[in-house]
Amino acid sequence: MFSLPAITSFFSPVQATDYLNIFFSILVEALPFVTLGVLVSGLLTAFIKDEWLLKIVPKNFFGHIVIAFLGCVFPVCECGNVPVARRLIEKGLPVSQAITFLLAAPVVNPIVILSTAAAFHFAPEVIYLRVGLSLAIALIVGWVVSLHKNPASLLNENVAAACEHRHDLPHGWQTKLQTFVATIRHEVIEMTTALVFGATIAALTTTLSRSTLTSLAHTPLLATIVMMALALIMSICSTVDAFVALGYYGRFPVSSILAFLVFGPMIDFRVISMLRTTFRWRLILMMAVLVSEMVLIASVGLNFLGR
Amino acid sequence: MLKFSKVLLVNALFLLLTAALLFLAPFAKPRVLQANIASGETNTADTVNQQIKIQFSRPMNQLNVEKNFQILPTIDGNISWANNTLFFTAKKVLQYHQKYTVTINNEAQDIYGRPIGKNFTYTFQTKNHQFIYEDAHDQLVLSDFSHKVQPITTDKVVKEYQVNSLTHTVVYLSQPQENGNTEIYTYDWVTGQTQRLLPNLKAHLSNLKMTGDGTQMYFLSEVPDPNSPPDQNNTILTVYRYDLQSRKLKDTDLLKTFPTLVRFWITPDGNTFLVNDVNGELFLRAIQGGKSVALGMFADYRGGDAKGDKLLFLDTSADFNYVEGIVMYDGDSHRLTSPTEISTNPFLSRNGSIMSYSYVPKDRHETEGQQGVRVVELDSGPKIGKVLFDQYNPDVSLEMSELSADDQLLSVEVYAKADLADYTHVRKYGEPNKPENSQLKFFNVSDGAELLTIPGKELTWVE
Amino acid sequence: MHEHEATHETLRLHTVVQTVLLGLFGSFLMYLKVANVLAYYVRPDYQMFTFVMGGVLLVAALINLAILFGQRHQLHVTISPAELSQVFLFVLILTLGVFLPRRSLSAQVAALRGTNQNLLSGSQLKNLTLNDNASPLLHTASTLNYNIADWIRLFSVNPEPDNYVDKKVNVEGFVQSNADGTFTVSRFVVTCCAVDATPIGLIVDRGLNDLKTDDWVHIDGKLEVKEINGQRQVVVEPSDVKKIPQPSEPYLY
Repeated sequence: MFSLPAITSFFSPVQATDYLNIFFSILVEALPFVTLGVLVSGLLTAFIKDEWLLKIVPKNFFGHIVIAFLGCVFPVCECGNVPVARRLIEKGLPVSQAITFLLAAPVVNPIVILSTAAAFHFAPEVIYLRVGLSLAIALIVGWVVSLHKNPASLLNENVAAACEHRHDLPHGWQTKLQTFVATIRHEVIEMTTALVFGATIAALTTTLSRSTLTSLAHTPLLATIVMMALALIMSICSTVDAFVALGYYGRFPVSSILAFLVFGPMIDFRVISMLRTTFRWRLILMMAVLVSEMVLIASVGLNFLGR
Repeated sequence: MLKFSKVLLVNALFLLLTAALLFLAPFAKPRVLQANIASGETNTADTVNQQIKIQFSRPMNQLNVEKNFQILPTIDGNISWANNTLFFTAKKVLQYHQKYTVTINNEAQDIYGRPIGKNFTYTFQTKNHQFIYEDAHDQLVLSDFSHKVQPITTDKVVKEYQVNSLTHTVVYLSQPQENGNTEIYTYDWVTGQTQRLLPNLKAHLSNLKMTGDGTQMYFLSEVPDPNSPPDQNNTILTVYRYDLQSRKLKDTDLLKTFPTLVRFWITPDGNTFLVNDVNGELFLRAIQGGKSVALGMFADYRGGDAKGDKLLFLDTSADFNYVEGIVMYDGDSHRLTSPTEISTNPFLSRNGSIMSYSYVPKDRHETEGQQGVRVVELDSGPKIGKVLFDQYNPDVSLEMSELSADDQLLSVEVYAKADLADYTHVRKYGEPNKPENSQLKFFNVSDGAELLTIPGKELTWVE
Repeated sequence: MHEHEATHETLRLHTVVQTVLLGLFGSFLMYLKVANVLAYYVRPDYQMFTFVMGGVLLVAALINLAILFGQRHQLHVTISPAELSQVFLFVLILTLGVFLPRRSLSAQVAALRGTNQNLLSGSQLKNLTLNDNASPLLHTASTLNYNIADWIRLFSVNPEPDNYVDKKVNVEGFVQSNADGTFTVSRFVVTCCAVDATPIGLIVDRGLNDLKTDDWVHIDGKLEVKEINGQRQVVVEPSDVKKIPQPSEPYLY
């Protein structure tokens, strides 16, 4: 998958420029979306009351379904979701529902659906399966997490502490503004750090050799695994990954393309590093394992339908 | 640890399911998702520009699938691939009124070596030979050999018409009053709808041409000459371009560099203009503009092959009184017909290798005047090669002939000798009025058999 | 939580530095747009959004600074190693970002990713209403200004090479040399950002002569069919090959 000669000549000027080009393209592309997500999160912190939110989303399982569609309201791509999710948890949203939101929102929103439809207009099954599977997986993982008796233990130390100290909205416009900009500052820096780690790994795709990829994928199952690994490393925004997947269509079966489209928005290095700001490793691991399993099951299932 | 047990249990179940599926995975087969032909429906496919598409559910082993691909009866064509879809493109026109069966063998494999498991067949039927002509009442009709007649006009005075099979459209000029304004209509023979185009254009129109893809229409409009002295109402001809897809007039003064243009034509591929100016010279110019190439003193452009690489012109006699022979232009001019005959009305087949034309021996044309019709192969040179069909009947004159797209059938406009009394059928400049009582005869090229005779004229085969 | 800091007596240096870094990142994004080099990193439709968000970050940083210094605190100048390394990392990134040579991804990446002649697309083919009935190639005028991505998309819907014989081409791209001595004129097609850049190209039936890999060229010519490795392929028969400078918008979308 990674071309050895390319790695060993890593410090040649051309290679270094290529690497940095890709690194910065990821950073520059994602940063505005992160900012947008943080803006929303800041608004939630400073201006939205807790009770208002809890009224809309019921506590029972039905709440998972509602929250899964919340992505339509905050279409900020998976970069911007984590700050929003964190705020929602601090406002009282159950952790399991926040997980469903994080997994479903990157795909179950009009922008991504339209972009997938534009790319795969000749194969509408890809569109329906992507949305359907993402929704199903988000709900199932959310349900599994809800079985956990002590959800607070899944949260990062700081976040857990913030939940305990939940206080009222700041009073007065000046304090609100202060809180707002302070939130932006703090979260953008935090998310950018995570982004940088994700981009560092993703930019290694400069050494990616397509012919090696294709030769590795010599059964449909291996093709699925290769595409999942690719999605994990490339960390592409769900708004445009449909067109990236399109590039592999002729060589890889549809089942593996779907695996790329469903797995990528949920789990990739950039998302993992951002999740780490809010959740503990044991939760992230559980999410990763469950999502991987279900994507594999769905993909192999499709193999039996010829795809 | 009890807190975790539910979660672990669920996880274990998923793992089990995953393992089971992974174990069974190697047995999953690819399949054909869909097959279709590019133009026409399965019942009445077109015979020209035909492509068969077969989409598979997985990336396939292309060489293997090509070996397991068969069409009966065989069609000469090429296979190409785009991702998971196989395209078969026919090199020549298909047979009319023929049922074709496409089969993919059950051994066809995907890139993982798995076969599709069962044979896949797909059948389609091509349509009958169809043609459009002016019937005994001078109305346009669409017909085929099953005597099915679909009227295109009922009460128009049709002056000219053009047919496009791709868009199944006829455009025609109707002139209700001899010196009045011309009306433009379009008729779609699939929907049966007639539409008037440019109803606000009030002028005398002529020289209607349509490009091969059916998108553009060109014609001449007679407009008052701005430089005309006030006592003479001189007119000039200007070339209009109309986009049939957007239904918009795009240009009203093309070919400005030919102020004395008399007639123009468009090559079938839609890329080149041919222009006859008032001095009798023929010019060639690319449609997107650029320099004009003077081809010489030729009377008419008479058509070409589908690509526009070969063009046929009519050559004139030394005194420019009448047309004398047929010239082919493929970058250079080549006189094709024999100087002992007067040859006119040439028609070139789609691939440019077969030609039909009228002829009369030189020593007879002043006295008897009738013409015969010949269909010949064109050999490299180019020159006339093998004669495939030849008919000469002293009682009739065989005029405008056209080959069907598959080169199998020949239609000829036929006039009885008696009706030719006033008509100098050896073509001169301008558009002589045709005699009444013309008939259309259809022949089989291969054996010369006469298939059908109907009253009518001005026939165009629908591809 | 850090929101509480505003009410504390001391103000940590790190907070101020973070705020400055925030402003710098915002300015960096805005700078890229103003210097017109954003095309090397993100797609055109995102560029204004990037600029605006950069502005948002800058404004937020300035407001933050104003508030922090408005409330007079004692500046606490200790900083932990973790925080120091974070600052160092960010400064390094910003510096690299400003001084990075502006160029498209190299032909080396194209070679690794495999330049292909197959590209599906959601977008309409330019200038042609691809009526299933029509050979879409009847009108040469329609494909006269096709770029490489347009041609490749057309091949994906109509792959029969014979349909393209004698079609005029005029395209621009960078040079990749081929094993058999010919070269390919290529571009990267990008959907999100350079990470997903996919190389596509047209084979040019001519030797490299004085061209080098990564040179940008403008090619005029016509299409022909050639058999390469047993497969019929569309290739360009060039009539004119001209070296050109790297375009400021090297990627196709």
